[in-house]
Amino acid sequence: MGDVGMTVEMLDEIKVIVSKRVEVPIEQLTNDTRLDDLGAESLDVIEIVYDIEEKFDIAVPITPGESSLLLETETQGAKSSVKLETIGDIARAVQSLVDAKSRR
Amino acid sequence: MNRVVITGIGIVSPVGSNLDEFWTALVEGRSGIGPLTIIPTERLSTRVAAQVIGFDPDAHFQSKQAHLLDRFAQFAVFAARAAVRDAHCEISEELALDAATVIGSGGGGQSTMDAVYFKFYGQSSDKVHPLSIPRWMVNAAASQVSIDLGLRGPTWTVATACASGAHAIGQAFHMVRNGQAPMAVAGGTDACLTVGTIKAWEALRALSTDTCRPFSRNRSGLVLGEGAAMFVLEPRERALARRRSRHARCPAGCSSKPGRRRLRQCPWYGHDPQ
Repeated sequence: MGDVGMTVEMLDEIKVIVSKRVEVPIEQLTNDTRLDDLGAESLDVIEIVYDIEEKFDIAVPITPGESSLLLETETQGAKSSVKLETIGDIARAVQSLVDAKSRR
Repeated sequence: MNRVVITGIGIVSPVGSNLDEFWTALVEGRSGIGPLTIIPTERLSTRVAAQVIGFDPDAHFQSKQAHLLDRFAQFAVFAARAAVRDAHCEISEELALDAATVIGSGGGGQSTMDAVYFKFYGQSSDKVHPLSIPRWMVNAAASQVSIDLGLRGPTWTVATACASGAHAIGQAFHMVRNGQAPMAVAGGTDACLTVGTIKAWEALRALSTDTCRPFSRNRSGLVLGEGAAMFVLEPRERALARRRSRHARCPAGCSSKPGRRRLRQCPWYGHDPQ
């Protein structure tokens, strides 16, 4: 495990996807790199989400029209949204979606 | 009223994607029609088209920009850049503010649309590319040209089937003549060679299976082609001021439709080198 809630492989996959979209060398990306600091625009964000959905064959429930990622979650019937700001945030969220899928 | 001249031309075509190549082909009477090779043809009976072979988007666009461009918009941006270069026209901040972009297209982003529908209906995939709409909208080419060249005046699209490009140039001509725009980039673009689009044309019983022979007794139909042509239109005075030779003068423009089902066009015309 690279961090609580995600594997090293997952973090690497997310780095590959983000690096390709925002055109920043992968070596410059870490767990704590913020999408905002990479200059990601709203169109970049939706493309990143699309790439993630394609890669892992999952649906990522995000709120549209934001330059940062708002993941829609539902716990015990209560809906809320979590802001995903860093690459680590995204990796953890995708890891939980992938895990949930494999449990089904 | 301004007198309007054409100071720049840019082209993407099956017989050449620069002005010299294109003109030489015209003079030699070379046809751009050949075997249809850029798409799978198993489910089509059409075997010929006028294709732009060897157009490499990666050579002209950064990957981030290329993502937003359907093939028809790639053609338009490439040709518009060439037209502005050809015009030797310095587009100042002030000029850019009102410079118009008027581009005709019959079909818009057909390859994007075809790919989306193939994935969704053909492969039953629920994942459709998020930039599909900005790519395939029929005004995408005009918008992308204005963004690429930094033209900030009126930016819009004319869609009148095969006459779209001619009508766009006519509209731009009127804008420059009336002083509504200090310059305009205008022309037409289409990239309609997709399996779905050709199938639909086949259903219309309009396509030739061999070649295009207009007015011939044994003609067999039309042949689809792709490409773009863009022009820079300016008031004659500005062109003269920078001693730019003009490709053509635009004396007048009109269009009409007789109201019958068969369309006849009387488009803009212009011809007067120097």
